[in-house]
Amino acid sequence: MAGHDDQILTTLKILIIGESGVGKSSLLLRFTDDRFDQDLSATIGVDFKVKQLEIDGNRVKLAIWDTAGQERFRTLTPGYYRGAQGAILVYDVCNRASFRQLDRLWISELDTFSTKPNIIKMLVGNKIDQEESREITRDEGARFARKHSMLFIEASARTREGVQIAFEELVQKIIQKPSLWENQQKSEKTIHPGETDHSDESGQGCYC
Amino acid sequence: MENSEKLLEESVQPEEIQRYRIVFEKAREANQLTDQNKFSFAYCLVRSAVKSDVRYGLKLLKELYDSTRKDDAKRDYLFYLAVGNARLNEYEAAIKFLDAILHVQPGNHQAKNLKDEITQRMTRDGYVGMGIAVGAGALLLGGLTAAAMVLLKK
Repeated sequence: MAGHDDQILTTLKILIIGESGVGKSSLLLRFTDDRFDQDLSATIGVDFKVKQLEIDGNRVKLAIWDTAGQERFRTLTPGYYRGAQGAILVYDVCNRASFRQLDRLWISELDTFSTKPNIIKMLVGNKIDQEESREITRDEGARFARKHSMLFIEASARTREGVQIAFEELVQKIIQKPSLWENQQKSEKTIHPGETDHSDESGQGCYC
Repeated sequence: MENSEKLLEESVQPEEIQRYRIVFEKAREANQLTDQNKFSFAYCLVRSAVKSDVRYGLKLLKELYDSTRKDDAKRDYLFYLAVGNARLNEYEAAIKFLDAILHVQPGNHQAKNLKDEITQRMTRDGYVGMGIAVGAGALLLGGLTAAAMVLLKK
């Protein structure tokens, strides 16, 4: 809420995707309102929240699109991927099927519908407060993230562990890649083939 | 709030509707219509700028609502029944559908936000109840809402 629009460096579009029930909306609610609601109902279609964040002295506005994980909405969402600079892919560390579905479905959805080939991806393993039911080790999550050039963090929307940092790191990486967001202000025609953004060595580049 | 406004104002492109229409009609001809492609089409239709599209979308949603026993699906159908009705300025009908959701999920902020947005519009437009029996927009509302309340209950 604080700050005026003229101080904002840019507005970024961030998507949250993953299977139903992994905690996408809970992560978002923790991030935007610092709340946790045990009885949060399943998202209908798509939900949308705005939050400002200060990263390395830059104020950015985040438009975060929280999508329904249910199959019913799957064919309806392609439009929501359009223009997104960042994506948070969520699985539940206590649910192997939700982890497998990232590989089988969500990553290819993202690659198919994303209009920015170098979109930054953050893998989030949620619900680490339920250690006793864990099915995916931290190491397995990290390996999967590396394989697909994603950032990785384990988190708990319930305890707030890892939540803020997940969003911050994602935004930081996007900011470090001006080619992802600068062209919004400039004309689309100003993309030069030789343009570099100093972060190609980080392994986040396009691999499509 | 921004999201609710978008739902009521943003229009789906005719080409996109056409794309889903083709899938829908082909599936129907082949007798392979699923709830999934029916819903995809209805979801587009209720957000069309063309009123007859919206009405047809509402008809499909009503059929879906009646034919499923899944509570989560019913809730989603109710939500888009509300969206479609609101887009036809059938505000009272829209609010009844949202109330049906809120009766079972009092904390559902998407339903709450949309209801607030519609209530504001009613005030702004000086809306006076003119009954809800307009065309296909009248979806046997009383009975449907009551049924929703029962069926959505866990």
